[in-house]
Amino acid sequence: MNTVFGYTEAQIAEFGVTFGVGGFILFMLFVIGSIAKESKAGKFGTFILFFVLAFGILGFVAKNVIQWIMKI
Amino acid sequence: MPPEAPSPAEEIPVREVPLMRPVEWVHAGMRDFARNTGPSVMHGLMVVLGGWIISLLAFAWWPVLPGAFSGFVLVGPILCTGLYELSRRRERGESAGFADVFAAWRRGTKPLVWLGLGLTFAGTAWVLVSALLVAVFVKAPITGAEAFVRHVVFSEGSNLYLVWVMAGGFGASLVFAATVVSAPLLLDRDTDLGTAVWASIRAVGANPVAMGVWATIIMVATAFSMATAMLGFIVTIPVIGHATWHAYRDTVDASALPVRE
Repeated sequence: MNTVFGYTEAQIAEFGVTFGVGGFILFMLFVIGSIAKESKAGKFGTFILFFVLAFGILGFVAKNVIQWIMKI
Repeated sequence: MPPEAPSPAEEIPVREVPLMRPVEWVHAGMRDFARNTGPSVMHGLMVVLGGWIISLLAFAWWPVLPGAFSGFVLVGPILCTGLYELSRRRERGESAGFADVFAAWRRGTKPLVWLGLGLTFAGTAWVLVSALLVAVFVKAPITGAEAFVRHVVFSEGSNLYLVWVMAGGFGASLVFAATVVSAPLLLDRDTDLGTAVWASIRAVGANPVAMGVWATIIMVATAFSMATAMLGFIVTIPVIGHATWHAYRDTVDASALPVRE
């Protein structure tokens, strides 16, 4: 099997997805923050937006943990 | 409410607190826990027992699970008043013990029962939303935990999991905001549910980051407790309950409202 720096293509793709999505999440935090600011969602609205986003991130992490534990 | 009681203020004043104040609430909660270990641990044990019964039902006889869970949520606000009462008496420099906990439960005022009913309603709505989402997105039958993980958590080819988690986050954020300080407020002062919930929401609006820190602490404590087969709740429930009292005292100025005894 062809490898790059000792990693297979599938492994590199997996890193890409994990770190890519991680970076995307950080970008989303920034986007939601600026949307909340511009739309004048208020402090409470911003709280709700970030709470939902944090829940989504937690869900993403939980999914990966479950995947890792069950070795799927 | 006696007729001569003054009508409750439309808006109870709320205060801004420093971002990391929730850490101090936890410390204060630990102090209260250490001072009232017996009655505090009793609350934790009751939650562990309730959690075990619900888990048992989930495995053995799942159709009654939503009912059992709803019942548990219904008594939750009243159960926790025992912890708030202990903290309240300690703060006043009074003695606190089992008798005070039972007195607080017996008081179980109408707005607290309504709060429990509201939470039951929210829990039922969540079960319905989840069932609907699964019914719409998943074509295969969900026959057990493994099928659930396969079709819901990994839900290949659909966004079910993401939608489900985000919807849960939205519901949880609303429930958190409505209840974070309203239960201790209802134990402490003579006011109605609407005023208490509105004060709670405004307390969150005034302290979005601090309340985010507080929500994270509660979530981590809950996840830890569940991971220890619920046993962690013996300590986390009393500490968070006592800390909730201090969160209420810090963020809400209810001094204009009549004291409830």
